[in-house]
Amino acid sequence: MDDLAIDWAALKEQAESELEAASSLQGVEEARVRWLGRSGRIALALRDVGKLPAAERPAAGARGNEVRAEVEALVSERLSRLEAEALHARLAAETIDVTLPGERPQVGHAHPLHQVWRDLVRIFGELGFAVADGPEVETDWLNFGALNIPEGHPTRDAQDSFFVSDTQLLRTQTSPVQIRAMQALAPALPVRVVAPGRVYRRDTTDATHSAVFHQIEGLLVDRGIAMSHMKGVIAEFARRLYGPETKIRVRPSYFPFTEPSGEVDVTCVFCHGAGCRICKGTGWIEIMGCGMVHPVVLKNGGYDPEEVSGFAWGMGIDRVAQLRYGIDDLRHFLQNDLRFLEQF
Amino acid sequence: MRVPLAWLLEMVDWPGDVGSLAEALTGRGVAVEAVERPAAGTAGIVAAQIVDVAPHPFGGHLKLCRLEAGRAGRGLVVSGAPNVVSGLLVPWAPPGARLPGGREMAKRDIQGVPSEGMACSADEIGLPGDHADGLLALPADLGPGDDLVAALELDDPVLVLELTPNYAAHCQSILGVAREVAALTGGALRLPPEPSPPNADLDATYVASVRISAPDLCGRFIALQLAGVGTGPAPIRVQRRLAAAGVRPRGATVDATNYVMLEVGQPLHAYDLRDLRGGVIGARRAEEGEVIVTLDGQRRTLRGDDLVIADGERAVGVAGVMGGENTEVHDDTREVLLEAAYFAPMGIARTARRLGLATAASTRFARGVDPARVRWAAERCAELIARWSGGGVSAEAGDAVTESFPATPPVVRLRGAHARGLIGVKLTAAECGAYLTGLGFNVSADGADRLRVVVPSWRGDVAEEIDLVEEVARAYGYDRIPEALPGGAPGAPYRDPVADAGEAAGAIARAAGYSEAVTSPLHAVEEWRRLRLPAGHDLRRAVQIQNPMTEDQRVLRRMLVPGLLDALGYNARHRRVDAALYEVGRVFQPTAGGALPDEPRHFALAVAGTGAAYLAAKGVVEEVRERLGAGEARYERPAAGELPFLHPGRSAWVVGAGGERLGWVGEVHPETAAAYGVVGAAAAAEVDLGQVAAGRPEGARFAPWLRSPAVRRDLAMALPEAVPAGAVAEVMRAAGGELLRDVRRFDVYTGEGIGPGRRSLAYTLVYQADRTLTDSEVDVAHDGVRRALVERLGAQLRS
Ligand SMILES: [Zn+2]
Repeated sequence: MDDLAIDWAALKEQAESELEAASSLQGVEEARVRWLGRSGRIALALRDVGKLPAAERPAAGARGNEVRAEVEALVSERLSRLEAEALHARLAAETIDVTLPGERPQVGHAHPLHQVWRDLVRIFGELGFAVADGPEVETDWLNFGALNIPEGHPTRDAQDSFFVSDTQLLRTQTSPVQIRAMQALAPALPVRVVAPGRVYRRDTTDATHSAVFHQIEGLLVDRGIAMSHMKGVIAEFARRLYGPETKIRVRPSYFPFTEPSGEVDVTCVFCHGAGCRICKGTGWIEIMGCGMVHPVVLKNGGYDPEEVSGFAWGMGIDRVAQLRYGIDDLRHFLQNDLRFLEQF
Repeated sequence: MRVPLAWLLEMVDWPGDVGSLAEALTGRGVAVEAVERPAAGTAGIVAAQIVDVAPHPFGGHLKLCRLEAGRAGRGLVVSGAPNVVSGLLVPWAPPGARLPGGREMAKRDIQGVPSEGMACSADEIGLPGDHADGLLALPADLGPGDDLVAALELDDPVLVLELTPNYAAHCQSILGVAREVAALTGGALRLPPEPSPPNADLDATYVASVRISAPDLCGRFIALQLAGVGTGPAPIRVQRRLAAAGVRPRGATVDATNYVMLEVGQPLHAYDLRDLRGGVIGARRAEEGEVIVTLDGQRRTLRGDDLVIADGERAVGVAGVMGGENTEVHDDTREVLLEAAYFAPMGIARTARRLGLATAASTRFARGVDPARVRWAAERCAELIARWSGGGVSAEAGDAVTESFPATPPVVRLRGAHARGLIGVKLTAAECGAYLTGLGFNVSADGADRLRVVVPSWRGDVAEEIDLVEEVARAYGYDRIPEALPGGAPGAPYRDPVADAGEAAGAIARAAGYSEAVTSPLHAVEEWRRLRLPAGHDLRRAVQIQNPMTEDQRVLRRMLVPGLLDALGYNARHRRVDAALYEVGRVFQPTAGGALPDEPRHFALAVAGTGAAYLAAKGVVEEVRERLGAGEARYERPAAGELPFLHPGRSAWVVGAGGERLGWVGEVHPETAAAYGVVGAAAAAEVDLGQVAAGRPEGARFAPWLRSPAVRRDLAMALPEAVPAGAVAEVMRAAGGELLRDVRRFDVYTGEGIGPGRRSLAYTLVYQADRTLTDSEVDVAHDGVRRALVERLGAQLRS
């Protein structure tokens, strides 16, 4: 009966060597069918277990099942190893030159003036100032008279303004929005607004002059507002725009619609006060005019100057953009040369 | 205003250098724009007497001069000057001396004879004067060996002031600036000496009487008559100061008027008495159209509200602005009528501006001169003319005063609490008073925490309490005011949905590859031709600029797109043919009845080169409209001539749900594109952001999607080409009802098998409901769509 005995060890050894020899997924699959299929070698051998004497059958069957499990494990291990090798080979074949330039989406650029505009509005928004608006064609009352600029005042010179009728002109400053904002809110307090916008002067266009430019005006009216608050807000603004080390200095100046009035200098953003070409060696750069709202202007806005006070300031957006980006010629702003726009 | 430092320091002391002075003045609002040092480094020039003159051995016009300069030594110089004579005291620049301009002297041979430096003419040491006049003859108060750099202020710096209008009133004089310096230091002022009144008993050749016939424009008119005026020039120091202050010396009489004007701010004018007629002088209104030739030789045509100075027969000057040529003083003028006046500032400002004549006199009168100095200045000037010219006596010809002369200085109250509240510094009234006193105000207590302040005569700019607050703040020092953040409630909320819409539209446009442009709202009438707008077209109805400077500033834009097309053309000329730009900005629409124009804000785009097609531009508009939450829009072909700058077959009005026109989109008419210099095709669109944003809901709401499966059915049909795709979609949506969720076109085809004048359109229709649809439900709906297409559009179904 010895010839009926099943040599499981030899079978396993043979299966192992066949699987080892299979170098492709297909080869492994063929070997799997050959050994583990319904009429594979192991199935056939297990069928032979029935022919064994009854006493040997259990042990031989158990051994056979063990061998089958071992060959199954072998097959799956072999499969996963070959899959890993195949993946590795594919990835290696897909290697590209990673230093090639990226394929960039065509995305447009925001105009530098508007980038600065948005920045200024954001900073003043952080400081509690909401945006106020007014028309670009303005009455001469709101552009001049209400701002304490009487008839005959030099800044009212018709030479400097574009008129569209006897009483209407292209606003020469964003300051009329001060009056509009106060009139819209009075007698409510506080008035905390900024008014960015386009303004016009009858100037010949060259590198430093433009008939069309942009300003941002600010106004705070409340009870108990003092020059110290004006300095505080402007200093905070300057630090947020130019960096925490920035210092301001306010020099007395004159505007018809504020008194006392001042010009604000900031420590030069290029040399930090040491003196350079941009600040003409002074270490300071003039950035805005400011002042305490003139009593006449408060009255014209609908407030009693005995009850409330306030301060206002105004600055050129174009100038801030020029400083920030190092733009030496104002004409770039309205030319819309893509070589210019695409730098921002 | 130019301030020679030495002149200023004659009136007041300054402990530091000129740089610190400039900084301190600027800190007080008297802005020093620059400190000029045209002759910095000048050194070693001394006074020397010519003790011997010998001819040059080689002849010619050169002479050998032996110079004696006391403790500064002696020397031999070669000079070609015409006025070389023994005994003359002249400037000598010996070897080692440095001339203005930096030239250093050395011993050198002149035609074989060594010259120890040189003897100098006025211009060689930086003084006003003609080189042809020869060596400068130094005044008798100098002696050999005196250091001329110090004595003649040769290296004196000049402060150049940029005065704001309020300080221009009192700082347009050396005295005014000296007062500011004295207030800074607390030091004393050294005022110019009091002049003596005119008292000569003249055997008058001209009996002037002063007459003011425009009392509202002329407050005071003083006329002094001078006789026997000498021939000498003004002293060289005076000439130097005038030159440094920017005034050309021109003889003792005129120099004296200018000197006193610079000294105390009162302009003066001298007339040649020979030329005055009629025994009268004074101020009157010009006759409308009256012509006068001013000192600069220009014919000036005057108006009825201009003020002139007139003698008995004619105008002899434009009051406060410039004298007349007909009465100008000359070298041989020996009898002078000297005018000192106070004019109403606004009148002078108006005339000077209209004539474009900003003279030294008009810029002072226009700010208001010191009324207390008018007479003083006249007397001082008469005295200086007599002293400098070497002769002359003066008598008063007349002094008329009218109601517009500010004889009494205003009195203003200052509340300490008010000053504290506005400045933000705890100042007592007494401290405020001390600052004001330092500036020349006359201050007294007026109850607790209150001051009574008499404004000094020279501060015509101060009239209200707020002016005093400013003076206190200025004197306290802006730099000493602390920085504090205001408390209080936040400001009123502010929402501008149109601005938000503009931001959103811009972001979409940039994502689509368009860059942001900012174009000028000032347009040329020429745009109308480029845009092919016929006469009478609505878009020609624009706000007109009455006083443009150039042709491209005639009107305010009605649309943004012309500016963008112009920019595309500009880029094309700079070899950038493919370009895409957008702009968010205002346009201007005239209104009736004198109201301000409407200023709707628009969003516009323009694209040239690749992608410049109708559907591409429309796609961006659609994306913008959809993201802004605007409702359905229709695209309607414009009537002939409505949008003449667009391709007639590739343009459309964008029409809102209510039938309102939101804007337009289209390919640019080839003639318009060419007129702007755009290369190849261009497409553009423009919409009114306000109208688009008006449809914007309060905000996006989340809508859960249906979990039930969607059923897709394709559909192709042939239709006459004239049936627009928009109508097909409308019919399908109407017929498909609620179950039809989406209609997507996937093909357009013309040509073989369709027939001429017809085209094939193919769509995918998506049916879906909140439950799983049965086939028969979808069939019913889809059949309805098919039927509607046949019955309503005459479609020939192909699948
Ligand atoms: Zn710098």
